[in-house]
Amino acid sequence: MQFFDNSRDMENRKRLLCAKKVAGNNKCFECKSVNPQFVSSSFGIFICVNCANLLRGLDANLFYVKSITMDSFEEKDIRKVEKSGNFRFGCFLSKNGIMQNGTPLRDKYDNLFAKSYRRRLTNEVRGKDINENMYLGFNNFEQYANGAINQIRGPALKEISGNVINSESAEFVLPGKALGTRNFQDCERFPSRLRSQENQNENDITSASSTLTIEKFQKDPIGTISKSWLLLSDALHKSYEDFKGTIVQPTIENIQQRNLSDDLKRSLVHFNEKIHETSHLPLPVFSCFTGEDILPSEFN
Amino acid sequence: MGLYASKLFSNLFGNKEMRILMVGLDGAGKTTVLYKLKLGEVITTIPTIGFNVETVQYKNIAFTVWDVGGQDRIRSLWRHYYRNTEGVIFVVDSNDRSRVGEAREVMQRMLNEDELRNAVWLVFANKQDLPEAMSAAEITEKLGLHSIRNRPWFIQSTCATSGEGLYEGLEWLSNNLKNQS
Repeated sequence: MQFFDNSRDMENRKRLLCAKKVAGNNKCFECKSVNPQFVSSSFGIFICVNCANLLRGLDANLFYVKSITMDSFEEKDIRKVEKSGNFRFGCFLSKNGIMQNGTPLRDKYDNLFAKSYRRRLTNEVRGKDINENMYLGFNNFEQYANGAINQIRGPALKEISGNVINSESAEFVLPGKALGTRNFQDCERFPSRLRSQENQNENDITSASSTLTIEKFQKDPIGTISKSWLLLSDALHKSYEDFKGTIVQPTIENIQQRNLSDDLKRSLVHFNEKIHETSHLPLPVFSCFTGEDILPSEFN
Repeated sequence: MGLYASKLFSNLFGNKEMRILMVGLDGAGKTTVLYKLKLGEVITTIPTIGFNVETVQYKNIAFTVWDVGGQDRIRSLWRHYYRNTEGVIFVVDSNDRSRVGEAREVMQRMLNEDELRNAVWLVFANKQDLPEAMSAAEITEKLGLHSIRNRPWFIQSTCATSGEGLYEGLEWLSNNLKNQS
């Protein structure tokens, strides 16, 4: 009944299977089972047959799945998959504090960040100009994703190429991204950059939760509360990490690095002096502070 | 002779059979409808690869319902199920406004099939429980059902997960079978 342009169809299928070989795409985005057979053309991710069923049950407008073997694909779907992929979308979610595990499916794909991702992906595929500031949750996303790739790739490359990473010979199989020396340097700076991003993220999250409350609270109070709780707890977690990173760690390092012996000597001398000064004070005075019972009987 | 006798016998007692083909775009809920009718419960389905077939008894009619996968690429296999089909159930996802046009195209093409010229036409406007679902009237218009002249047709709004409207659809099918025979 359906007539395909056969060569076109084959070509599309080839491109899809090529995209499937890219890192992260060979496992289901949801359950991580191998060899996923379905593609979500909304987000450009690969999923397995079971998860495809769960997700298509959500809402066809929200999450549209296509079978690699049983559906025909249009150019835009394939470009979405090539542009997005499991790894990138996973990075995006984790950057914006949406947990991969333990978040209900609907909350995971029906939130402001996921919507912004979809919108951006659609516009990217259409070839429109992408303005970073127009889309929620995309601040420094490229750097974050590159950093994350390097974090994963770094150890593996060390194993392959010995102790020294030779960036000249290291070529990554990544669509549209030539990774080189710069990114390896980025890899070392990655944690510090993360910290700086987290500050921004907190702002993002607070603004997002406020819009959530205004727009959706009346419609769906429980969902909104749980969503904002998720965001809040994430923000708290991040601010804790931030605090730990910027204040606690430096202080500890500071203390460890200082030569303490002088301080210690001085304080010991001080303590000694105080002891001698107060030796004439009667013990009952101490008992006021320490409690009567512990006084030895001979002093009474 | 025995065959005729048994046919006569079953006709006397009103037992009839009806072969139904259930089609629709992927994800419309065909398999869920089928097993809701058969088992009375909502099962977790996976996208149908090939087909499911079940016999559903309703009043005195045994409906043999063939549920075939609706993916784009395997829609061309539907025509192998056309022969002897007395009724078609076309399932539409009422919530999916973006693909109503595609559904219309697929349905109109089926209506022109010669092998299906005697089949009665039932449309399930499924997923009515979703808040933004189109009404049956809206779907009637968008699918161009009013242009069907040569056969009886009917649209029924359903919700496969709760079972609403499914038996009303079968009721209509059984009435129309009686009218034909």
